[in-house]
Amino acid sequence: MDRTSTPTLTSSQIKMKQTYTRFVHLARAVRQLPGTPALDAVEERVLESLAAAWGQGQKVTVLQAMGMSDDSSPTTVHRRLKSLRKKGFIGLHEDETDNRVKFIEPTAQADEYFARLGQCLEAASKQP
Amino acid sequence: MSLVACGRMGLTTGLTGLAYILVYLFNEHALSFTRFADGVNWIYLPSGLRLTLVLVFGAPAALGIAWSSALLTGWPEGWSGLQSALVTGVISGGAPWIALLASRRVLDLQEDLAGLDARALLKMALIFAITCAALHQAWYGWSQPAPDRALQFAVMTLGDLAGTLVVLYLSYWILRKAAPRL
Repeated sequence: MDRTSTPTLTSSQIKMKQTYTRFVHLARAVRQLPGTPALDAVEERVLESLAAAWGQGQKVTVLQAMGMSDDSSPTTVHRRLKSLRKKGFIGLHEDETDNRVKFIEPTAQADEYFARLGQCLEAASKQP
Repeated sequence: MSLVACGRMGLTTGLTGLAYILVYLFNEHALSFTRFADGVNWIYLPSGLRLTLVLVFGAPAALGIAWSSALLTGWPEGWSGLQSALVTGVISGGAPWIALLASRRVLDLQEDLAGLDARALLKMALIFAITCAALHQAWYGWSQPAPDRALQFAVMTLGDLAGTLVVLYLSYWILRKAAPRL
């Protein structure tokens, strides 16, 4: 028996898979609607984890970032890193000695985002 | 088509129709203040459900909307309103299906909605609103002539679009809470 062969799906399973795929694509489009927050919940957590590492002076590679989350799979984190990069919150910088290694860097947009969060925290702490 | 596939299609058609009825009744009672004319509202939530259900479930959802619309139209009038109910049902289910096909062609979308972004989704909402309003008003204009039919078309289009936007933004918040990893 060939252990590497993929199981054949029935036509019903294919239909269900197609329905789920359409739902996922629709959900992603809904997430991008104008006026909605720029980052989804997972992106926020990924960015916060990176901020914590950067705050301690650490340089974080893509591979390290993919392993930083306890509640999201490495694939999910990688996907969110791509969207964070697309949205302009992070940039990638190749290692000088090994160009396969890429370090994640904050952008000015990320710095503004953290500054705004800090202002909100300050304002909240001053509330009676 | 296998028995299982038929059963699944029947279930989808039944459930989508039921969802449409519930949202319609909610719109009629909770948003009755948005009524402009008979069958025309400034905010029409079922149009948002129409868009999302047909996008995800395709033809079974269109059939679900068709039977539920026919039931909602024909129920108050009984047998005497059978013709009106059937035509309204066909238009209510057929219009979003036609709009979906038109959207795919105009926006160059694949069948699995790959590449759909917010901009394309909003354009699709507009196409759905115009198509559904045009077909409904064409039928109403033929069966019940009225001097302000053009105005009713405009309000119905706006109402469908407003209802769709409400449903889409509500979906955003539901997804954020229930499925943050999607």
